[in-house]
Amino acid sequence: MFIHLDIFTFLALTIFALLIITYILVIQVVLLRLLHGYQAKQEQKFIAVWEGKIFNYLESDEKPVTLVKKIRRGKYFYLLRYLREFLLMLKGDDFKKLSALINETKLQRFLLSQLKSGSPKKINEAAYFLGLAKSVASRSVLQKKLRSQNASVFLSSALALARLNDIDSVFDIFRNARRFKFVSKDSLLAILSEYSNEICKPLLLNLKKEKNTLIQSITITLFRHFKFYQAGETVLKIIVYSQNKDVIIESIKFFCTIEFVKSATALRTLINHPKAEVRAEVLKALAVLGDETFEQRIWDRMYDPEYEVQYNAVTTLIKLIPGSEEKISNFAYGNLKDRAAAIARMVLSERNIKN
Amino acid sequence: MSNSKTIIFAEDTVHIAQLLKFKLEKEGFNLIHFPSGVGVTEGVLKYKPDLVLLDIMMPVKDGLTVLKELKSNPSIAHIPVVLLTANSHEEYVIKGLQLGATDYILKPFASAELVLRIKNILKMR
Repeated sequence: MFIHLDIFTFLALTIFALLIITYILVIQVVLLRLLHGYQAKQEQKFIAVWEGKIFNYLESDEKPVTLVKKIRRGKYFYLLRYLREFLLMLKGDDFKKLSALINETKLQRFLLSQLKSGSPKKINEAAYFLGLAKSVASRSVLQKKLRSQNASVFLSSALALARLNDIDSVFDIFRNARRFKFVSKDSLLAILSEYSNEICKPLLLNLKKEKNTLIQSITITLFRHFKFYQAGETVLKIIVYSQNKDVIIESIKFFCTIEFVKSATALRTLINHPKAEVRAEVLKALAVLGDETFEQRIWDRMYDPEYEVQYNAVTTLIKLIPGSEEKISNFAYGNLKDRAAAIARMVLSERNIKN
Repeated sequence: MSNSKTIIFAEDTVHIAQLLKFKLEKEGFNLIHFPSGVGVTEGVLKYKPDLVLLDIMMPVKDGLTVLKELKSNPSIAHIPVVLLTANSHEEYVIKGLQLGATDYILKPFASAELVLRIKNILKMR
């Protein structure tokens, strides 16, 4: 009886404690929602007042300092968030005038102090807006931040420097990226593609001696992004000896983009590459870079063990060889039990549906 | 430029839409804004604007779908359509031009250039 009472008391106390915790959590959520709603309203009010002023500023000779000095420090981020879309989507005089609201006013001092702070959140926010506004004054601090131990600080600083088109930092970005396991090729590409095409020349010089396959692959992808034709010869030399699947595939895509016909000789060898992804990419590229001398080799690939290679072989034959559709049709419907013929029938049906 | 020219434009980025409205209204155009592609074709049928400005990447209904609808309706197919799209989606421009768009502007864009292109298109008609 005595033990039973204790258990009940214990259970009652536990339930009571859980209720209290739940109650506190609910109060906290409600308060946070109220705060968020209040801030959103304040921001909307701010925009309602300032939008017209900013549009008029764009059309007038008003100095950026005159406009920004009327804004209180607590509302800086309202203005910054408001400017964000404009800085991303506008260029020319509009961009110059809007970025001057940051670069030529106390906003820049504020952001630079945030950038020099110890808080990664503040640094990331400041780097983001300084990069968007292409604030040259922030360059040296951002360069130092590339050496940060914090991955998010590294990434936000690298992005800002790319938006500033700070070519000197490209190789520092590569070097420092290696320190972080989860900084992926895609995130580096997203950052580096923010540079202008001026990045290509130093990258080309570096590629001639670069041994790291990840950097080779990223560099070649960037050449493709910028359609940097001058890199064709160098990439052709790399594809001949490279054993790295990514480097080979990126090189093929690059040749295709710049329509580098000279690469066809290399593709002739790569059509029999041990990796199926490479063979599939070669076949896709041949539709652009190949000629009739490839016909038999492409037919042979219709019997490839990999589905994607077979599929690309059929589509490339149709695109590359005039009149091949009829030949493929005869093959497809004359060999009903053949796997290659089945894929050919599928490609032909897809084409019929599309047409 | 006559004050009676009407432009229908669809742009989902609110602040950019506001800025375009401000700039074009200052040039004497009447602007009718849609925050997405939804309702644009009906709007064009109703108001018969002089030009349509379409952002390609929009939620629910994208610019190319709207363009296709506009060009497939003989009563409004003659209305010039200008496309707005991000630099990274240049491939859509070719598709847009194939579908009958008159011109295109890549983002980031200069609003002064956009206004001039619109004026030129309207002048040539």
